Amino acid sequence: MSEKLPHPNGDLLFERELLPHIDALNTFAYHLTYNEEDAKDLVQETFLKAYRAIDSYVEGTNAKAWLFKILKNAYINQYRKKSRRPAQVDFEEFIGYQDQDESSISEYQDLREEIFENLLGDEVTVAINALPIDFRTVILLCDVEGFTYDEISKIIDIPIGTVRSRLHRARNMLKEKLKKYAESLGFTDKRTKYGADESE
Amino acid sequence: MRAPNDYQQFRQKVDLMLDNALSQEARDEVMRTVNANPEYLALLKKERNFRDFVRNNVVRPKVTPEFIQSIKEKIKIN
Repeated sequence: MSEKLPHPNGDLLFERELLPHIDALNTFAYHLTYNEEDAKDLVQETFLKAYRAIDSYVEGTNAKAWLFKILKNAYINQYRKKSRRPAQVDFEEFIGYQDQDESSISEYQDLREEIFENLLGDEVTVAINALPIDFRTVILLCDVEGFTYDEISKIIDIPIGTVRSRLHRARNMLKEKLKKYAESLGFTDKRTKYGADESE
Repeated sequence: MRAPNDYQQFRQKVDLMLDNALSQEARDEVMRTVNANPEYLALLKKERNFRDFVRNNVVRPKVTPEFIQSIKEKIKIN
């Protein structure tokens, strides 16, 4: 049996195209695992897997999306059972909702501008981490990391229409959570259903 | 008073625009609508502020040089 030869530019590719994404991967991993140690383990495993599979990576293509997909798969395969958070929900296994077609997108949550002034930054992380994992994931990939619908579709293996509808629901849920935090700090939202101030 | 259906459809276009999922032509059309309607302008600003608020405030744990070095060493070992 012949041994696989190392990629001739593997180390260079690794340093130049993969490692620059380590901060983004670590942020994603942190919000999947809820703690820094598990996140580091997941990031390390992602880079080891990426290095072993570097033959399948085409230089100059979308390294960030490729790495995020590896990390997501590594998380599903190995980390979900080891998570220190007992109530964690698995990818694609959350029973409490069903993905809807994008044509079903209708109601929108709106937040008043004043809410942002009443919230501390930490509450964003708390609110994101309180979302079920499928919703948390699309918020992190789209709103935090700036991936396109097409890239998200490929990273988490769902149709683009589902990405859109899931993002819509995730943002509504996030706004609702942030609104509740603001209300707990004494802020009251007195708007009508469609977001206009009653005084308008 | 705005019609709820128009509002919902416009919200969908705002989402698509902020998610960079619209063509330049479609973006221009959204911006023309926004500039002609102060209520829609406020809506766009609010949604953009929400996205910025999330992106700028989410916790991003730092990766240390030692951690990066340990990954490089593991790759050499493996």
